[in-house]
Amino acid sequence: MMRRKRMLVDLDQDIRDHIEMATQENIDRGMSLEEARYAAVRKFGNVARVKEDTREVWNLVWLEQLLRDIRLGLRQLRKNSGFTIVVVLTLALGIGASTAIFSVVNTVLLRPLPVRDPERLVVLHDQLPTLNLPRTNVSATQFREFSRREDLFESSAALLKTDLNLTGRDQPLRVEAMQVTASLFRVLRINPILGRTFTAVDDTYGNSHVAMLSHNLWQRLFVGDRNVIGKRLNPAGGTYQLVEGSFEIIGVMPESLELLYPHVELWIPVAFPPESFSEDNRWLLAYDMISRLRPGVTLAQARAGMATEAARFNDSTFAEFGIEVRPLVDEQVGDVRAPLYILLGAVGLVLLIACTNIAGLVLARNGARAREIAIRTVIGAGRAHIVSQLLTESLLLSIGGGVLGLLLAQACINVLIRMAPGDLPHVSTVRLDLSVLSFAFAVTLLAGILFGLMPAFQLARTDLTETLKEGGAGPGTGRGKLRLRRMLVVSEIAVALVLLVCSGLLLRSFAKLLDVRTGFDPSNLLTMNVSLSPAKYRDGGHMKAFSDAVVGRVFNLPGVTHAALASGVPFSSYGYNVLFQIRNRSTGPHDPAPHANDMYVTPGYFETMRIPLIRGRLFEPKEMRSGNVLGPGAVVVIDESLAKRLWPDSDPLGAEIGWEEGTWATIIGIVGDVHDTDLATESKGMFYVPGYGGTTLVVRAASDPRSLISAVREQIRAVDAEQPVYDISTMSELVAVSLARRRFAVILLALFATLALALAFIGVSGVIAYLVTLRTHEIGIRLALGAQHADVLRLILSQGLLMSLAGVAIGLVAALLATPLLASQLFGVHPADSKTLVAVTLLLMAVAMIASYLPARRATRVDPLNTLRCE
Amino acid sequence: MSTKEQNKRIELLQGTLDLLILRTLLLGTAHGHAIAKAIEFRSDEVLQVEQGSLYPALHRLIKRRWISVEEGTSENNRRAKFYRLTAKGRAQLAYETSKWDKMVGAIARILRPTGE
Repeated sequence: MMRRKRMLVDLDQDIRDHIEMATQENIDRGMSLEEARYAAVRKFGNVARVKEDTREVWNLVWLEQLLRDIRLGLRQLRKNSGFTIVVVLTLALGIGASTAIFSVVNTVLLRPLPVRDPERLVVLHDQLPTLNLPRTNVSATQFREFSRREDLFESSAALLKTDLNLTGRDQPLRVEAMQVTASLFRVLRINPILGRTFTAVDDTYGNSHVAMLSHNLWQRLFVGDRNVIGKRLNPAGGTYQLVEGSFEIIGVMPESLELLYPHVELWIPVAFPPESFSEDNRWLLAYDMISRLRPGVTLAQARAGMATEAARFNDSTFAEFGIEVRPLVDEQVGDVRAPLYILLGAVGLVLLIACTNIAGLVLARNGARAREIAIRTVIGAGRAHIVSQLLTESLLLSIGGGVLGLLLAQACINVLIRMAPGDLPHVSTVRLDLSVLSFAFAVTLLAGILFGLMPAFQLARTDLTETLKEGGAGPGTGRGKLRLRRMLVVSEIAVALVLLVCSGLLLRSFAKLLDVRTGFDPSNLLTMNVSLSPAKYRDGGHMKAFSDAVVGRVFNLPGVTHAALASGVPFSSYGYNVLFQIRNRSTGPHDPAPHANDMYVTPGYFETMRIPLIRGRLFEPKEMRSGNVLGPGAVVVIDESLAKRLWPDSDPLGAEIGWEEGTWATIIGIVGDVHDTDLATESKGMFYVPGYGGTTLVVRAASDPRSLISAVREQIRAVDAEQPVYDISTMSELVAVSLARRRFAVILLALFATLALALAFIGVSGVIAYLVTLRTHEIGIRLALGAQHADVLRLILSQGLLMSLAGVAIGLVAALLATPLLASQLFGVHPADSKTLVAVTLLLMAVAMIASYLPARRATRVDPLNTLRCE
Repeated sequence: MSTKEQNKRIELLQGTLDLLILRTLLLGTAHGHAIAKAIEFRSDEVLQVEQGSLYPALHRLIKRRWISVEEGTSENNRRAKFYRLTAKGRAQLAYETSKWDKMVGAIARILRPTGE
């Protein structure tokens, strides 16, 4: 390009000189000056056109050369279509997988939250390790006191999840709502898309009759009507109990807020009632607290400040109490982060293997082309031109692989979205976006340049005479090249082993989880929730009537074998962690108080769930209580883990527990443990009380429980048509959902490991095939001298064995270093699980041996006469 | 100039100008005008250099490194650019000439087959 500029600079001058010379000549021939000049110019032609044409020479030549390179490259690639297909497919698989996973990671992990400066937002949690509450909510009093620390927090908000029923429509509708302090909008720095937000007056107890709609509810109920402001909503129950009368709609939230609070449909002021700040409720840990750090305040400073606050607030009520200050980003992404980083690492490894493979393939082919290139060099092709030709070829391959990879990525993303567990944040919004696109192309180009340059460097060292002299022996046989290829394959095997070990460990964990007994029989169980209006069902008598009617009617349905009502079911919403006391056992002031989850159940619950009775007896219908469940004459059933924890050396049967003096209830039975939230978590201890109040219906069916749904709904409707039914699901589905995230990670990693294994197979078999080609002559001589086929086979196989042994050894060391990072994702399997390591090693060795056997068998078919004649 | 025996002059075949420039420069360096004149003169003015194509051709040859440029003074003491054949250009000329000979022979055989 420099030359082009230099050449064109003097063009004007050149042309002027030329015309002047011609003019002079014409004068010499006897023309007049004017005539001479006219004739010269006419002969020269259109000056502007000449300049244009000259300039174009430089453009054209440059373009021509590129086009020629591309044409030549395409011809070369077509000629070696096998090579081209393998390389493009390898690249497409690597790029496709990495782009798809990067898209998921980009959306779930890296995409900023839909608020301003999200990194300044923190969430505050109480930590009560002695009560088995490592991370829980804060109380109203705590919120009031902590948010006074304005030296740390610019603003703070409290949130309380609730739900309520909306009536006045053809079907009663249950909506999930969030009660929030008016300060939330200042904390998040968001504005409504319609109307206004809450004021301090709205957020005052007794004055709170306003609500804001989520974008979703606005679309669903009002079809996006902009005149919705001022309309009224009629709540009729649900958990939300603080308001009589109706709400006025004052605003609509932006759609982006649903990324942060995906399930919230209605926003109402929290309007703390005065009793929330009473001494009794000092430890009523119910609210989420979110704060924005004051500018200049670091996370460490906020944590130090809150440690002081915690000590002051606790005032030795609990042996251990702390306040966790956690960035909102962590809260949002939570434990998804570790598996996603593992997957990202896996993607990087697969891409690495893919590139290694391609480098190997290109090296081998380049060996075969060494002679051609040497000849081209001798007859005058510049080294730079050969390098640029090689680069063009690699880039053509990369672009082909990249385009195919992007198509693959799009397909993968569609599959991933369908496979992903629903609770993975923002997963439905994952799509191939611009940053992912550029990432993919960066990877493609990098790969292209990487494996394009490697042979180019080798070429630069090529000794021409050596290459030409090697002549009949076939492709370039530089020992160095072979060593490089061997190293590539060894590292490929090592990386594949790491991936295989990781996915093997996760697979074993998953298998162990599937073996875990839930503690009940989830098959043929149907569950659903009824949202009861607290106004209508305000006391135990109403609840008893409703419960007896529903359970009785459902039980009488054909196909139903058992039915019960409970305050929750495992793998869904389940008991509350409560503190209680044991009669005649004093706990020291600093000892942790006994705690457990409690559940209200109707007598048929254990039979319905098939939770086994270990000792003692179960409830009888006459023991059901509708008022205070604990108290004189009351009975409870506890589970095994609570029995072992609190009565390690004595018999819990006959012991009495209660909230306080005078509320004692007798333990009459011990039942088996139930996994409450997911299979990986043990029961924390549970006691069951025979009481009305549960609104979760469990139904055991004789066959497919789904076929009963409409009949059961019909029975609830017959009892009370105004109460909405929600969260209808079978128990098996709930168990499956709890495993969904894990299954997702296992499937993805297993896919990657398979991909890595396939690529390693290609790599090993490629290098052995290359080796066989190199030694054809030698093998021919050996066979001619009487070597047996088995000898030749052994000769070649030993090469493959050597490489895979080296790869496996390196891989095992790397795997032992890498697997501790997986520990948090494992269940019942040690990160250095010997069974997995042995199995994976054997698998990889077997694959490597098969990969070497195929080309080795070809070596035995070498015809000695032919090889010798080739000479 | 162009008045004389207009019908006897023929336009150069595509690509032959390059060959002729190379051939001209085999005798020594020359500037643009001199090259054009030499071609016309040596062909007894039968070949007419379309001067508009001379400069693009020169630049094309420079780009391919078949000729090089140097500064110098023309016969009447003016600064001018002189073009010189490079080693590569010499090789190219040999190749092009043999190709030309083959082509001319082949065309001749087609146009006047032996035995006609």
